[in-house]
Amino acid sequence: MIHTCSNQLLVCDDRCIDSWLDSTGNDEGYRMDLSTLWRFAAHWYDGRLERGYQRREPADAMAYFSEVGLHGPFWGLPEEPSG
Amino acid sequence: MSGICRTQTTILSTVPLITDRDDLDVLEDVRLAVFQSLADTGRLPTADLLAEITGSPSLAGSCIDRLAEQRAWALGNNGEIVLAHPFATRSFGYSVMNTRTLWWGGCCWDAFAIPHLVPNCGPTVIAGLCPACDRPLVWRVDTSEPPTGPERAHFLTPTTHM
Repeated sequence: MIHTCSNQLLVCDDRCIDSWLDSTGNDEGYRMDLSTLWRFAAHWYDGRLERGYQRREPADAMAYFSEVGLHGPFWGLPEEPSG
Repeated sequence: MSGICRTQTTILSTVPLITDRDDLDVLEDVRLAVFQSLADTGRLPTADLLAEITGSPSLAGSCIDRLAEQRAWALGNNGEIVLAHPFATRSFGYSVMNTRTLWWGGCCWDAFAIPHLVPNCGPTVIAGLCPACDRPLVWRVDTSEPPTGPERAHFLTPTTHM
């Protein structure tokens, strides 16, 4: 969990992502813009401060990912349709 | 040496002691106390408060460990809570500030989530450094609309490996 969080990063732009991947030797992950990140963050933790909170089941998580605009196998989803 | 070190904000877990009182209601009370304190203050509740909730410091430590096993939070090397998403108890690179409170976000995603999760949070200023070029980055983030800017997020670990 700590390793995963330590590598979920905001950078200046795509060139800085490329530079970071090159310097760290990490494989390409998933890139998103600020709007997508904001939508992704908006309701993911809903209910966490309330009694009886339950973590999302995998199917619900994937539905949320799709709803906020994520796509592809990184998220366990189909690739975004082209055209 | 086991035991609870009672600092202002840090709770260290003990050797787990599972008793009849370590039931679901007590676990949830502890979970809520931790998250509510983090939401309200950006800091963990005191050891005294958790001991009061559970009945003893050792039971409080046991509950912290049990909740970590249930992935309510992640513990550091000394058994302290370091990540209770979206909150962190140390820097992971992103600060989140409103007019009253300063939080650590667990990551960029967590940082952006805090103004949505914390009731009546209002607008926040979220700051970090670009890990590639070390340029300071800052955004005004609230719940009404996303911030604008050329910055990009990169997630390294696929969900299948989380």
